[in-house]
This record gives sequence, structure tokens and C-alpha cells, in this order.
Amino acid sequence: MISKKVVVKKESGLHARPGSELVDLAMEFKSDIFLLKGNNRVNAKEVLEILSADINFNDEITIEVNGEDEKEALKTLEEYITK
Amino acid sequence: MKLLGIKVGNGLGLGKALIIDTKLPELTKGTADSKKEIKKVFKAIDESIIDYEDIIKVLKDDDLKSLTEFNKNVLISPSIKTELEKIINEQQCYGDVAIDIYFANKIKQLENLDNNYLKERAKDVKDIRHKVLAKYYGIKEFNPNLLKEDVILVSNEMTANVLLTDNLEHIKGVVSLLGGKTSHIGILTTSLGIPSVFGIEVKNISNDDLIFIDGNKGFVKTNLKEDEIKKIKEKIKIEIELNKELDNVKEAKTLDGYKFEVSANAGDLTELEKINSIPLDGVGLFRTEFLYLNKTTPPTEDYLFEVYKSFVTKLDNKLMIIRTLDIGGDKKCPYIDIKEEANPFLGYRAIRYCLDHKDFFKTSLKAILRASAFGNIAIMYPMISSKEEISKANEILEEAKQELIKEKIKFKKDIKVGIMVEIPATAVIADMLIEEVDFFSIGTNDLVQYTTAVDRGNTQITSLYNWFNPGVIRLIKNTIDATKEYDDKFVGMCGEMAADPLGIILLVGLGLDEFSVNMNMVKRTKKYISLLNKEETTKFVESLLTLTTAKEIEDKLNKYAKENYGKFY
Repeated sequence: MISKKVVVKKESGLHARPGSELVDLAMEFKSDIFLLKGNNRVNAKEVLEILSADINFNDEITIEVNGEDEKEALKTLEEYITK
Repeated sequence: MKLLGIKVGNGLGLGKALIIDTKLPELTKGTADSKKEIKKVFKAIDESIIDYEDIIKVLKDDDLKSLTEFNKNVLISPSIKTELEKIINEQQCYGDVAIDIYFANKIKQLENLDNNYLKERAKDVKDIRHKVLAKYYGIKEFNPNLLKEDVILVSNEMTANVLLTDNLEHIKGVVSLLGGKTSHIGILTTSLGIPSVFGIEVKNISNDDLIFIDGNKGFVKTNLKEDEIKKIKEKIKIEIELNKELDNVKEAKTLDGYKFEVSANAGDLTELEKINSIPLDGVGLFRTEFLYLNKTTPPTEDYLFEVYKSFVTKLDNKLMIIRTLDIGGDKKCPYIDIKEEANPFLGYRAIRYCLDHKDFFKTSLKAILRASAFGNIAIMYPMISSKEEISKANEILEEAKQELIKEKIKFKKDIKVGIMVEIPATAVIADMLIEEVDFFSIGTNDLVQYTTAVDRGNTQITSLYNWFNPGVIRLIKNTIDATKEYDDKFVGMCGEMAADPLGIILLVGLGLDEFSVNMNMVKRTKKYISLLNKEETTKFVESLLTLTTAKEIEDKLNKYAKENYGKFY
């Protein structure tokens, strides 16, 4: 398992549109992917979970990836979230 | 019959009322055959996904596309089927009950969040539940692709599903009881250019009746007479022509060459994406409330700074006026200690609260100051009713500046500071206050309300709420005149009057410098200004100042508008 702390640079946070796009990206990977904000840990393949984590612009979150394609997955998600 | 509602999507439309019954059968009671129900539920989900995918394929509009993709993603969730299966197996219930339980949980999670935006998303999830249940029951949903004549959709709670199509040509309007500007159906109608009015009860409208919707003013008319229909058709034709012309609008320059600033009001992150697609001269009113309302703890200086910075860097050095927090007892915020009051609009709010909570206020000012290093930013204080308040606010601003200097953080030292003129006492002594500030911004929505003592939400007295009331006009004139002795000061207006075709005539004549209007009214306002001759209009408006009733003033303005706006009025 690998993980990385990142700061969200999507101006409108990870809400409906970016949240949905994030799910599309996460779905491309076999690995399990989670986002951690505070005590909240949500599945990056579940759009409603991402939404209810209320992740906003400039929030610090951790991406946690576990699986055969974890490196590639982490890189892709990090790029999307911090772009 | 004229039915008043809340205007949401701009535009006019005429069509047969099509009442969409969004009611589903009652949930099935009793013990079910789990295997059979699981199959049925899975089928309902798969069919819903296919529907959404089909729609995505044909959609061209980005907003619609992303909403539909969100809906689809909710249903392709890796856990949805296992969870539904579990519910059915454990409770031995029918599939519709399981679907209801599953989505009810998700909806509750979103509704419990302290974020208005996410609360609205709960409604989207309700739409998805509705679709899956309809599939489960085998109910055919309303299909806009089959429409053959112009209709206005009417429902108590319109679901966004009905607009997920690329065949919108026959949908001339949307009328709903529930929903607001930020609901998805609200956002969709606005971005698709479909007139919409909310807050209207379906029982007042009969199916198939030809009705007229005015999304610019916010009403629906039923039982139309022949001559009315003729007039409406004419009006719609003009509206279409005007909209075509608007594509070419760039600046607001009168026929005799005077230029006016037309900027936009903003107060929502979704507007950030629109800024560059509209020919605005700046942001005349940046509402900061949304940054505070969606939180359990006060926003940090860094957070506010980043948001302001992201906006102002998109504005290419155009002026962005940030209004400090305007919050009161009508809006609850867990960390802001304002009690519920009988009259929140006459209560402890805005600058009155901020001056008592110096550190809180200073944090917000420091964020604005820091962002001023990245663009052309001005500060505006709301609800100012006296000179002392301006001095006190400026003292705190000075402290904020000193702290930033100590922290060696850059900001614009001579940042412009102005006030909202929305309290009659302030407008009356505008000449005494102008020395204290760099600009005024007349907030007509409140100024009219306070001057005429009319709550605009009270339907029995709405006719008294009128910005052409001679008393209101005098206050506006007084405020504008006070700035005219100073070359380096200006006066703007944020409020609906600034986008009203008749209001524009009056304001051009009185010499307003800046019109700040809703994003979707910027082009229209520029167009109207450019159809006027400033010097003639000034003379005409002078002649209005002796009239003693709002009615006479409006009649004269109406006539002038017809002469000058021509086919666009």
C-alpha cells in the first residue's frame, strides 16, 4: 500500500463535477483507492462517499492506494486533484 | 390569471401546460421472494444506467453532461448492488422498499452536511431514486423526445431528469413549486436558456391550457385571451431578436459616445467558470456570505485569500469590489452568534456584527488585502448607517494593514474603500460621507425596502415596492450627485434596478458610473445603455424629477423606452 498527502487545488473542491470525474479516473484502476480527510476515509470509486466527505479547495487530504497498479493510480489521482 | 413566483431562468415562453405527475405508487408491503426481487432491482439499475449513457451520448451541453455523468456514477458504484442485495435478503422486502432504503440513507447523509451546495445535491440523488423506482415499476417516464408541440412543463417538484435530452426545442418553460436558483433544475434551466419560474402551485394551472411564462419578471399567466396571445407572441419575437443582437455586445457606449461600466454580481464558485465568457467590466459586488455559510468553523485567512485570488487573477486587472460579510439573524451560522430576531433586516447584522467582533472582521480584511496584490480589488462595507461606522471599520482596516506590513506580506497600500448605500439615512447624508470613501454602491433592493417600508416578500403590498417612488429616486439622485464633485470617486449600483430597462434610462440620466448586474444580464444592460443618447436622456430625466407619483414617472419612462429602445422594448 502506498499513500501521499496532497492539497486540493480544484477551485470548486471535490464536489459533483470534479467528484464525478475523479470516480471515472479511479474506476480505470484495479487497486482500492481511498481518500482521507480528517477522520473521514472514503472510497474514491463511490461518488456519493466523495461528495459527503465535503472536500474543499485547499483542504489537505491523503490518497491511499492498494493493489497491483497502485503507483500509476496514485500518480493519476494526484495529478487530477492538485492540478 | 397572473401567478407570481420566483424568477430563475431568464426569458419568455408560450406553450401548452404539460403537468408532469412525478408521483410513484406506494411502496409494496409484505414478504417477497428475495431472488426474484434482487433480479428485478438489478434490472432497474442496469436500465437506468443505460438510459443515462444514451443521454450522455447525445448531449452537447457541458452542464447537462456532467450532471448526467454524476447520476450514472452514483449507479455504477461498486457497492450499490451488494448493498441492495443485503437489504432484500435481510428484510425479505420487496425491491422498491430496498431501493427506497438505500437511497434514503444516502440522501440523509448529504442533507445532514453543513453545506448548502451538498444539500442541493441530495435532490439530485432523489431524482436518481425516482428514476430507478420508475424502472422498477415499469413506469414510462416523460420523454421529451416525443414532444410534438410547444409545452411548458409544470410540476410540484420538477426533477432534472426531464431536461436530460438534446431535444429541447419544444420545451418553452419550466414551472415548479419546489426548487431554487441553486437547485439542479434551476441551474440547468438557466444554463440552457429555458425560462423558469418557481414557487408556483400546480393546482392553479390546468393541463393543456395555453400559458405564458415570464422568467425575466417571475410570473406565469393562465387563461390567456386572444389579444393577449397576440401581444405575447410579438413580445417573444422581440426577445429573440434582442438575444441575437446580444452576441455582439462588447461595451456600453451611448450614441453620443459616453462609456459606462457594466460589471457583474458574483457570490458563488460556479460563477468563476463563467467570468471569461461574459463581456463584463469587473465584478461590482462580490458577495462573501457563501464562504462563511457552508462551514462549521470560521473560514481561515488563507482560505479566503485563495478564493479571492483565484477570482481576481481571472479578471485581467478589472475592478473587483469585495463586500465584507453581510450576515444576519435570517441566516444561521454555527460560529456566528446572532440570535433569531423578529426583524433580522433591521437587526444585528453585517457591519454591525463585524465591528463588535474585531478579530473576526480583521481576518476577513487581511484576506482581501492580501489578494489585492494580485489584481484590482476594492473593499466595500455593507449596512453603513453613519459616519462613525465607516471610521471604526477603517480603523480595523488600518490595523490589518499594519499587521501585514509586520508580517512582510504584500498588499495594495492605497486599496479603494467604499460603502453600500442601502439605508435611507446614509443616502440622505451622502454628501457628508463621500469624503470618507472612494466610492458608493447603491444597493437598491434594500434601499427601496427600507425607504418605502415594504417587505418585498409580502404579496399584499408588493405594488408599493417600487424604485420609481419619487422618494426613492430623490435618495438615488442625492447619492449620485454627492460623488460628482470628485474626479477620482465613483458611484455604482448593485441591485435589480440597474438591469431594469426603465431603471437604466433613469440611471444614465442621473449620471450613475457603474451598473453591477447579475451575470446573465450584463450583455442586455450594455445593449440598452448603448441605445441611449446620454445628453438627451439627462435632459429627459431632469423633467421627471418634478413628477409627484411613481405612475407618472413610469409612464413617461415607458414612452421614452419605446422611442429609444425601439424594437428591443
